Amino acid sequence: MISELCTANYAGGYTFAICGNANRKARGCGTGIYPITPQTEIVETVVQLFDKGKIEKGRIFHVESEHSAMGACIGISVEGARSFTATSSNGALYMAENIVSASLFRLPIVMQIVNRTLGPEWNIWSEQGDSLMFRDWGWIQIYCENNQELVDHIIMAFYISENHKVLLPSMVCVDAFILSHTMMPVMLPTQEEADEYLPLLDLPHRLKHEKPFTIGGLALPRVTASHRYDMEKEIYNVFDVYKEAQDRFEELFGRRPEDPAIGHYHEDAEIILISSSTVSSTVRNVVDSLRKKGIKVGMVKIKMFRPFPTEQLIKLVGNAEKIAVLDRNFALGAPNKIGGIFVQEVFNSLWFAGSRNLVQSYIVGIGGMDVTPNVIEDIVDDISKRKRPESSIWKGL
Amino acid sequence: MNIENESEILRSKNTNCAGCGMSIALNFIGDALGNKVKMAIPACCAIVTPHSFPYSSYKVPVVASTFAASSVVAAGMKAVQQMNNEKGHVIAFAGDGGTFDIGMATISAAAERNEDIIYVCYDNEVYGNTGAQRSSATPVGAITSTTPHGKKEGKKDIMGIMIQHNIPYAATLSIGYPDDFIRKVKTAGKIQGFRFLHILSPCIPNWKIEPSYTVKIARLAVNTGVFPLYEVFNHKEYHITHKPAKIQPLQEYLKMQKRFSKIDDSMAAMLQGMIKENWEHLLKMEEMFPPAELTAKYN
Amino acid sequence: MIKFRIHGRGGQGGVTLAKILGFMYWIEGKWVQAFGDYSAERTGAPILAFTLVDDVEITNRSKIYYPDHLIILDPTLISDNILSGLQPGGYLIIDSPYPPEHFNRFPGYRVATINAKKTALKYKLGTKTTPITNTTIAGAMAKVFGKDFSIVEKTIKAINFPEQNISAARDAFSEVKIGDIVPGKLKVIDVVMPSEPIPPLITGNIGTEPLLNTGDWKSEEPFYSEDHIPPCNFNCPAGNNIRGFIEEMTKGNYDGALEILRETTPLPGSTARVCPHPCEDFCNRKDIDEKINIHALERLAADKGKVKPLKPRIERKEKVAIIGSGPAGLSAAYQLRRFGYRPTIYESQPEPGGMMRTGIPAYRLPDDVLNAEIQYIIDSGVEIKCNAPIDSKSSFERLLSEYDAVIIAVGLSFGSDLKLKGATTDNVIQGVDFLWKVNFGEKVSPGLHVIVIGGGNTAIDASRTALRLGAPEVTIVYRRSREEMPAIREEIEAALKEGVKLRFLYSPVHVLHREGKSILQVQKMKLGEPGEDGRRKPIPVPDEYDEIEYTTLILATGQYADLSFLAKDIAIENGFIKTDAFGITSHDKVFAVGDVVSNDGTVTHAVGFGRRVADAVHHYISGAPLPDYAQDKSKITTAQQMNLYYFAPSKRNEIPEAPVEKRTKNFEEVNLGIDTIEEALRCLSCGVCNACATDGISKCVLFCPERTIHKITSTKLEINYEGCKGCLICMEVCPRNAIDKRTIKKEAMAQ
Repeated sequence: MISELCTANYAGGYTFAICGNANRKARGCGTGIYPITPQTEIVETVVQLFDKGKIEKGRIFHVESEHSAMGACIGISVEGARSFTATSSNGALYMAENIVSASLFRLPIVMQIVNRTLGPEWNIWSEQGDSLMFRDWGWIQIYCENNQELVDHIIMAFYISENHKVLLPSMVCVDAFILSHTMMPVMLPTQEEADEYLPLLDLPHRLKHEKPFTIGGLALPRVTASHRYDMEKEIYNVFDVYKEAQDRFEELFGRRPEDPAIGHYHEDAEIILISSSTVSSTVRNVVDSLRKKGIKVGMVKIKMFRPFPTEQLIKLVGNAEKIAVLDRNFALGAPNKIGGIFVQEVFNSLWFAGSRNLVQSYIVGIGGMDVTPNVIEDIVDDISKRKRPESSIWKGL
Repeated sequence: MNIENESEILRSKNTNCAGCGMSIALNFIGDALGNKVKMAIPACCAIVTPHSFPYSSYKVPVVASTFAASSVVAAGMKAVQQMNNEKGHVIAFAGDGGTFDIGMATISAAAERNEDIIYVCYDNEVYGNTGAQRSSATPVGAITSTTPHGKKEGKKDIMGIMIQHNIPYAATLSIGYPDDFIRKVKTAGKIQGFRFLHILSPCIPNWKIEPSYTVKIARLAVNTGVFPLYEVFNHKEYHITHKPAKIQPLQEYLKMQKRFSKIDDSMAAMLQGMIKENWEHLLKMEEMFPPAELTAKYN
Repeated sequence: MIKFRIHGRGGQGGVTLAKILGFMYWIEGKWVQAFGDYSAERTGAPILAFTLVDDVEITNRSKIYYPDHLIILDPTLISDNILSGLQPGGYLIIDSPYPPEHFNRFPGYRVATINAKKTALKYKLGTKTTPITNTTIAGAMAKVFGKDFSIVEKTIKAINFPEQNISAARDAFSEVKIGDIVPGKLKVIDVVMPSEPIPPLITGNIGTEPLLNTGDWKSEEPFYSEDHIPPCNFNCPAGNNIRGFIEEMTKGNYDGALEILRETTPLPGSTARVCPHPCEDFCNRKDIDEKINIHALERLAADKGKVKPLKPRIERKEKVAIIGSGPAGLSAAYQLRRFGYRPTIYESQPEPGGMMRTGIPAYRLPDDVLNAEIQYIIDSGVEIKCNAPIDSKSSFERLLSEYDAVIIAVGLSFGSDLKLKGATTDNVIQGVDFLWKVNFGEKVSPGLHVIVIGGGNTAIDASRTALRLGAPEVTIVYRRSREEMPAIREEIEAALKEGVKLRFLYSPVHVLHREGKSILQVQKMKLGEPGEDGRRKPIPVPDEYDEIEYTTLILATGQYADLSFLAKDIAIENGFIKTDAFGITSHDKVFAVGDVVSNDGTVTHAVGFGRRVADAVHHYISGAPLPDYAQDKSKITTAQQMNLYYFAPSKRNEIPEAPVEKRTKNFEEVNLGIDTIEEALRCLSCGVCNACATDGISKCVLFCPERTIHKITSTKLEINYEGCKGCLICMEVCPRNAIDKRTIKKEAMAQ
C-alpha cells in the first residue's frame, strides 16, 4: 500500500482502475461513465489513469446517460470482464432500470455511489436516499466512514461480488462532499497488491458461442419466484465471503477492515447510538468525549446495509437500555411517522430477537445539513431523559 | 449464397406468429453471417421469440437488454470480445419502438462513438409486442390501438438521422429481396464500426394481413417507393440498390393491409407525397454523392 | 358459482369471449369476473381465459382449476388433460363441424358442438386463416345455457361490436348441437400443480430447445402439387412429358431423359426434327425473354441417350395387325408392345416409316435416324412386314379373321389433283410422288424452273428438294399470305434462305403452252373474312393475272387415302375413317389412327393418336379401363400464377444450320443440333417443383420463416409439418406455382 493524500473520488477512481487492471490476465475490464456532481472526479480519474496506460486491457465507454453507463457495464460483464462505474442522486434514478437488471442478471458489477440528495429541488449535498432506493433488488451495499474504507471496500467488493457463492453487484457509498471532495490520507493499493488480492474473474454464466442461451428473456411466474428465492438464499452467503475477504486482506496488507457492523464502547453502554457513513465518525468523536465525562454511551456503526448484519447488531447492542438511531435519509409516510430507513431495520432486528430496548429515531443531515457534534450531543441528551419512544425526531429544524 | 436448410440463428417451432417477417429477417442474417453471432435484444417481439426460461429458440447467445439499451449492451459485449481477440459479430436487434423512440439517444450515442456493432432495426411500424400502439415509425394513415382513426403524422426518417451520424454503413433491407438483403448483411459484416441496418418487417396481426403475404408486401413496399432499398457508406456514397423500372401505385399496397382501412384522401395524399419527396431526395443524394470506391468494393 | 374455462389459440378472441360471456351474465344482474391468463401468446399459441358467474360478489382472484364447463375454440387443443379439474356433468362446448356424438372420449361429461369458424368466416369475422369466433360461440352458449337470444344481442350492442357479430351469433344460436351426458365411466383428470425443479440462472442447463407444438397452430398447410400441368406438356400432341425429360436434361442425364420420352413416343429423334413444336408456342418463358428450344433438347436427348429395348412385364398372346408403318402405326405398335402384345405391321412399301420415309426429305430427317428408331421398335418385339400391301377387300378380310384386332394406319398417301386446265402429265407431278421418288433414289430432273403450288410442309419440302436436285429457280405459289401458311415457320425461313421464291396471294388458273414452254397463269387474290379454321379466306381479284414459266409443276395442295379395301361396316366420312378420340371405329375389332382419321398432318399428332389407339385395343382385348387423357385446362400453370422475377434473363440456344451454299448441293441434314444442356437450365419447370435447382436456392426453403422445408434430393423438397405453422409464404413465393394448400381436418385429431 502506498500513502496518498486525496479525496474519496480520486481514491475510488484510482482503486477502480487498479482493480479493473488486475483482471487483465483474464477477460479484462470496462466501464461506462457519465458525469454528475459530485461523482465527476471518479470518472475523470479513471480516464486519466487509462490514458496513462494504467489499464492495459480495458475499455471506457463515454456514454450519453447513466442508463447507458450501466448498460455498457452489463454488456461488459455478461462477456465475463470486470466492470465498474459510479454515479449519484438523480443519475442513479436515471440508471435505475439497468441497476436492477445488473443484479437480476447476477452480474458482479461494482459501483461507487456518492450519496446526494434527490431533486427537485436542486440539491447537491449529502443524503442517502439515492442508494437506499435500490436496497431491495440484490445489490450489496456498503456505507463508508472515510476515504480509506472506500478504498478497502472497493477492493473487497470485487472479491465478494465475483465469488461464485454470491454473484451479486455491489454499491460502495460515500457521502457527497463530506468524503467525495475531502482530502485525507489514504493507503492505496499498488497494482501488484490488487493482482495478488483479487482472483481473476470467472463468470460462470458468461455468454459463449459454444453454449448459447437467452438470458433475461421471458420467465413464467414460478421460474421468476424460484430465481428470486435463489438470490435471497445466496445474498446471505455474503457474510461468509466477507469474512474470507477480511482474512485475505489482513494476511496480505497487515490490517483488518472492520466487520459489517462494529461497536465502540458498546459493551457497557446504557445508551447506544446507531449510525452509518460519516455520521458514525462524528458520533465516535462525541462518544469518546462523553465517555470522558462518565456518560455510559456507546455506538454501533452499520457499515453494510445489504445484506443487513442483524446478528452482529443484536450482539453489539446487547442489553443497552436505550438506542438512538441516526438516519440521514427518510421514507415518507412510514408507520408511526418513523421514516428512518436504518431504524426500521433496527426495529425489525430487535423485535425478532425479542429485545425490549427503547429505540428512538432521529433524522439528521437531510438535504446535506451539517451533522455537528452538537446535534449528536443533543440526541444523547434527549434520549437519556426519554421514558418512551415517539415518532422520528428531526434535528436541526 | 450457401444456405443450409436450417436457420443459423432461429430454431423452428418458436413462438413467432405464422408468417412473421422478423423470423425471415433473422434467417437471412444467419445466412449472411453464420452462427458466430451474439445478440442484445431489448423489449420487442424478438425477445419473446426464445420462449420462456430455461429454453431458447435462438441458436446463438442472447441478452435481453432493457428497452433503450440494446446498442450499448451490444457495444459492451463487443468491446470485451475485441480485447480478447475473439471473432464473431455482436448484433443489437431491436424493433422500431426500441430504435425510433425509446432507444434513440442510446443509438445516437453508440453511432457517434462508432461502436463496432451491427445495429438491426426490424421495423414493423408499430409497438407490436404490446398489441399495436403507434410508434414514430408508424406511417400516416395506419390504424393502431392509439390511433384508432389512422395516424395523422408521418414516419420518422430514421435512415436520414443515422446517416447524419457519419457512420461507416447504413442500409435499408427488404425480406422481399433476399439477394440484396444478404449481400448487405455480408457487407455490414465486413465493415468495422457502427453499422445500421433498417429492415421493413411486415407484421401479420398488426398490419392485418394474410400470413402468406409477408414477402409479397415487403416487395410491394419497395416497388411503391414506400421503402426504397439503398445503402450509404460513410455519409458520402449513396447507392440505391434497387430502382424499380416504374414506381407502382400505392393503392394495392394500402388495400392489402387492413391497418390502412380508414385512410382518407388527405392522409393518402400525405403518404404519397412523403414517398415521392423521399424518393426524389434519395435520387438527388445519389447524384450528389454517387457510388464510388466503397460501393464498388462491397458490391 | 358457475366457472367457465376457455381454451383457445392466440388471435381467436378467446379472452374477449370470456368478457363477452361475462357481459351476458352481468346484463342479467349477476356478479361476474372475466379474465385471460396472459402469457407471451402469439397468433396460434394456446391460451386460457376464465369467466366466473355468481349471485353474490366474487372475491377469489385466483385462476380456475375446477371449472364447471369448458369452451374449446380449437379441436387440436383437445387431449385428456383438457378435462383437468372439470366437474362431472360439465359441458365441453367445442368449435367443430361434427355432432356431439363424435366426441365420445369424454364419458361423464356433456358435449355441444358448433361450426363457429365457418359461421365467423361467413360473416367475415377475422381473417381466412384466423377467424374470430367469440361472438359466434357466445350465441351457441346462450342456447346451451337456456338464455334468450336477446341477451346476446344486447351484449354485442353494449360492447359496440359490428352488426355482423349478431348475425353470426344468431346462426350459432339455432345451429348449435347439444348432446346428452356421454355414456361410460366418468373420466376424472386430477389437477396437477407444477413441481419440477427450476434450473438456476447461473449454473442451470439452459438454452435448450422449447418443445412447442407449433405445427398444431395451422388450419391450412402447403404441399407440392402433383397435378399442375406445364403448358408445354398440355400442348404436346404426342402427350410427351416435356417438363419431365427436360428435368433429366438439366442433370445431363440423357438416358433418363430419353427414357421419359420413350414412355409416350418411340420416335423422339424424328419428332425432334420434324415436329412444328406447338409446345414452344405456349412456353411461359416467353414472358421473360425467349421460349425454350424444346425440340432442340428433345433431339439432344434422342441423339445422345441410350435406352435398352422394351421388356414388357407380361407377354400377351393376342394378335394385333396394323396396316401401315407410318408414325401412327409405329406408335400404336410400340405402345401395344409395352402392354405385352407382339403386333405385326403390314407395310406396302419396301421400307417402313410411311410418310417419314417417303415424304420427308433426308435433309430434315436423315435415314439413319429414322432407321435407328424403327430398329428400336423392332428390337422391342414388333414385327414389320414390308412389301405387304393390304389393298383389297380380301386381304383386309384375311387380317380380320387371323387377328384379334386390326388397326388401320394407312395415312394419306395420294396427292389431290388440282385438275388444272392445260396441264400435261410429263412435267406436272404430285408433291408426294416427287418426294417419294427422290427418297427412294429414283433419278428426277426438275429442270430450270420449278413451281410448287401449296403452302404446307409438302410444298416446302418439294421446293427445297427441287433446289437440291439442281433447279436454279424454285417458286412457291400460294393463294394466301405467309401468315396463313400451314407449313412450319422455321422451314419457310430455311426455304427462303436457300433461295426459294414465294409468291403469295396467287392462285393457279390454267396452264398455257407457248413456244415449247409451259406457262402457269395465276390470278391475284386478296384476303377476306376468316373461315372455319380461323385462317382468312382468299378471294379472287378480278382481271389481275400473271404468268410464270416452269419446267416442272409440283402440286402440293392436299392428300387423300384410298379406302376401297375397307369392309362396308366401317364408317367413313368425307374420305376419312370415322372414329372417336381413341380410334374406335364402327367395327368392334377394327381401329383406325393417324391422318386417315384426323388429317392432322404431323408426325407428333400421329404418335399421340397411336398411343390412344393402343389403349383402345388393349381395352378391347383385355377389358382394361381406357385411360382418361382429358386434362383439366384450369390446371395449366400460367405465367400470371408464377413469380417470373426470380428468373434472370437468358438467351435461347438456337439450333445451328449448315451453311446455305453447302447444304443446297446435297441432302445432308440442315439442322445440326445443339450440344449443351444450358437450354434445359432455362426451363422454368412451370407448376412442377424442381427445388429451384436451375435458378439458385429453393425459394420456399429460403423464405420459410421456420426454415422447416428440407431438400431430400437435388430437385425434391419435403415440408416438415411439425415445424410448419401454415403461413403459406412458400406457396406465395414459389417461382413456378408448384405449391398448393389444403385444409387440415383438425376434427380427425380430436377423436
